[in-house]
Amino acid sequence: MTARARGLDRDGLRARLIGMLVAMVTASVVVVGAAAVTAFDRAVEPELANRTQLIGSIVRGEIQRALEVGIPFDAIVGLDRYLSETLEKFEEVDRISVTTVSGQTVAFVERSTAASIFERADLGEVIAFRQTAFASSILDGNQLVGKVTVEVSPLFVQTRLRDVFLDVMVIALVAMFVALELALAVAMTSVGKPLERVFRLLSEQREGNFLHRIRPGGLGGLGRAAARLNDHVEDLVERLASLPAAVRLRIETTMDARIAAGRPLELRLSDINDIRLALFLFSVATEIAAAFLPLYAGAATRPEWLSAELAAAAPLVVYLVAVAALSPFGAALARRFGARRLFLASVPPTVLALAVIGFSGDVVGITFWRGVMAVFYATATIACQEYAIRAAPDRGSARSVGAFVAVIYGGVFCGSALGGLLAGRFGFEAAFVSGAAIAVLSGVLGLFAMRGRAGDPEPAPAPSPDGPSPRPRFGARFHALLLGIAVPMNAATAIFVWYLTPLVLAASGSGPAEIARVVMLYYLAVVLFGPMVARLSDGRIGPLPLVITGALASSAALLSLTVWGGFWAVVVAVAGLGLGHTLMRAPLHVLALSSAGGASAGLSALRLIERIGAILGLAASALLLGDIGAENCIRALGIAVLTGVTLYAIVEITGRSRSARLG
Amino acid sequence: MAFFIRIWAAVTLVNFAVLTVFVALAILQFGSINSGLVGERLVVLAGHTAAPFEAAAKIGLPLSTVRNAVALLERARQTDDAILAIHVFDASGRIVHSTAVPAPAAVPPGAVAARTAAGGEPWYRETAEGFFSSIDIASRDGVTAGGILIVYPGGGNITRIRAMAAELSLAAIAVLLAVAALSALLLRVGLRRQIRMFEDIDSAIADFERGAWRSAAGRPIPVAEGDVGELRSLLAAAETRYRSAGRALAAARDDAP
Repeated sequence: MTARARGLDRDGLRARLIGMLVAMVTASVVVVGAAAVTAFDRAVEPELANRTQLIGSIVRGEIQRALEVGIPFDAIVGLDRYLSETLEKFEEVDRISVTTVSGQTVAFVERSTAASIFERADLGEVIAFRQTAFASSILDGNQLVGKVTVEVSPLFVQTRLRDVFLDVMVIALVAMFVALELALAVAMTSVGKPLERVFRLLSEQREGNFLHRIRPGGLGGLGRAAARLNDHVEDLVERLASLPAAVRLRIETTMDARIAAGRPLELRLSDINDIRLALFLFSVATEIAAAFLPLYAGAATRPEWLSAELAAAAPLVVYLVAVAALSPFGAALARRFGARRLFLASVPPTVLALAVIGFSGDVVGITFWRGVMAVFYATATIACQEYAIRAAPDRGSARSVGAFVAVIYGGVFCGSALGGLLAGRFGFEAAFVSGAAIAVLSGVLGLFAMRGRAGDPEPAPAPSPDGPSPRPRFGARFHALLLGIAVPMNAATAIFVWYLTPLVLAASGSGPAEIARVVMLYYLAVVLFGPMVARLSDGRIGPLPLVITGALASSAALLSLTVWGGFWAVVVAVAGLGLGHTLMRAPLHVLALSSAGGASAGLSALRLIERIGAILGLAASALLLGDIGAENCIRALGIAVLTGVTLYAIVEITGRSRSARLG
Repeated sequence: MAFFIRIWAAVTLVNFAVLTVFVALAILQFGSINSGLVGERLVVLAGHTAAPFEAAAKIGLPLSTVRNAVALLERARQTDDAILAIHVFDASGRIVHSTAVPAPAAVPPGAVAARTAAGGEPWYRETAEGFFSSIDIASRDGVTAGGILIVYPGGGNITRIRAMAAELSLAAIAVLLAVAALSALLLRVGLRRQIRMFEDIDSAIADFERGAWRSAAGRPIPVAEGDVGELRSLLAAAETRYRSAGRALAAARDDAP
């Protein structure tokens, strides 16, 4: 059996599942959506008729009263204004017209707002079947003099259902991620891991080692094989134990097999997949407020000396400070206490912090508990990263780190989208409480899934006989990469995506659900295109062009907001920034490693400096926001990104030409 | 087959969750649309009905003194047969004119609470006592002189929501079943390599087990080939080792004093 088959061809399975899940969930939502619009249309038809009839009768009554006092039909003053006021009260009405019997228009008002893309959708036209125009006759005494015509938008129901459709699209996207993780977990727990366990025990028993047993379970024959192999061990152990001590000693030296002296130990195998679902859910839980935290903190009560802008930024700044402060010690903690114990210990404080934030009314409480959550977010994610690295056959490989990053971003994407939706529909408290519940679930899953040896404490590495390793020396290219690319990239994420986007969209009337749909676009790019960029970076294109293209694209995305504004401009900028950062993120790490001569200290320095850059940038923009406004903040950010990439490109080109001259 | 069924069940479960959330959100939205449509219409009707009373209040007359008040109210009530009653109440909440016979003495407590919460703005609300819609009538000095209250049957909205819930649930169940059948086909075809791999493992273990019990009767265990050959040979080697260790233990026991 090939190694590929033994690993159940995880990547192939994932790729196939994604396609099938997209097809199935989309088909379900579209068909039920069409059914809902049709049913809604039919159900509201009588009420819409009542409303239209009422409008007609009120307008007709007013006109007839004027006619009764002798005012000529075409000389009624203020009829247009009266119709406009009526139009404002009934949002489903597109037009009201008053015409004479000869067809001459006496008054006409029309809603000025143009039909949206959704309203113009062909699907809406097909499934809307209501009558859209209603006419009431106008009498002057016994004479028919004209009519009032009220025209109703045929897509009224669709526009009222727009938010439901958008929310369901978000839910469908989140569900696809959950389904994917669930299906992979099912495949791994049913076949992948039991097969691996059976193989390991078989390999031992083939060599004559009957020292271990494995966890029973697995589908069909795998379960039977596990039971049989466990029984081999238990039978031999029992029979050996029943022998007199002298005979036992003799046979242990002569027999070409080794049998456990007491109860056989369980083989605890570790796999990267052990952490996937728990980490995914933990990430969903902790990022549940990603789309609305500045709004939530900005609206909370605050000390007099704290401006609204700083209050909105405070939880984000404290979050970044806490993560930056704890990250250097996370790995040591995971080794000291074990990744499993550290992860499980991080869950209860996270649950508590989420619940308390949800019910905090003041910004100090929100900021403090967000900081607490950041500390335990750092410990939990580092614990999972340590587990993944130790579980990978080739420790520290790009695959294990890549799998870890993909799960984190999938969780952030789902958390931000889900949080916004819950906050928009049921309030901020509901979103935080849901986050706490999801965190509990992640803890339960971690408890059962992280049982491999990779979750155990690990002894500290012995000091090298050659003395401490020399301090790494970072050259100008590394510094340029750090300051010109990494810091602006992280500052742009913190300032624009986390801080300004919620504030700008909220100021233009968007609710939490709509903000979340925009913010999630940033993470969607990472989730969709991240693996492809990693392949391009490892392949023919190489990391440098990707980093420079990504930085230019993110700068263009930010500066685009100086050319046009409004909701769709922010949408395009967030998506563009997400795409630009996706192009940069993985290649940036490759370049950092190569610029620092492969030293892992290079990556540590990169992480620390980029976080400090994000903290400083966020604090600066919060301080300046009140004076210079969001547009200028974003413009300055775009210019900083552009300047950074230019600086890096100059240093890179100069460095290369110098290297070429030196031969 | 078991492997395929587990994956299919997981996918169908998630699809079920998505559709459940969709139906729940759609029903919530329908309830909101439905009560909004009725409420907005009744507010407009109340406003239109209030006009002659407001004219009286503006010149300082008490609302109870408006002549033909019941006829004015009755005309408004006839615009919709479902309207139960239209009341005119004064600033203290006492009903001074009504289409209801006999007219109640005062505005119901649910409507009083809703009116207080509205703070002088037109309002509508579904309460346990019925669906109410109301607008205040301002007097000459801008102080509230009273208002118009329209009483609409409350249960209608709930019945319509239930009917919508039933219709959408039925549609969702039908779609879920259809997509579950389609997904079974898709998964069967799309995951055929993984399913085949698992079936090969399963049959390799079954073949080994058969070979093991036949070997007890003297038939040699056949040598396996193909992709699962490694598994079969490992199973056979482990079995051989086990039997040899077991025989050694049995011999030692026989030799023991």
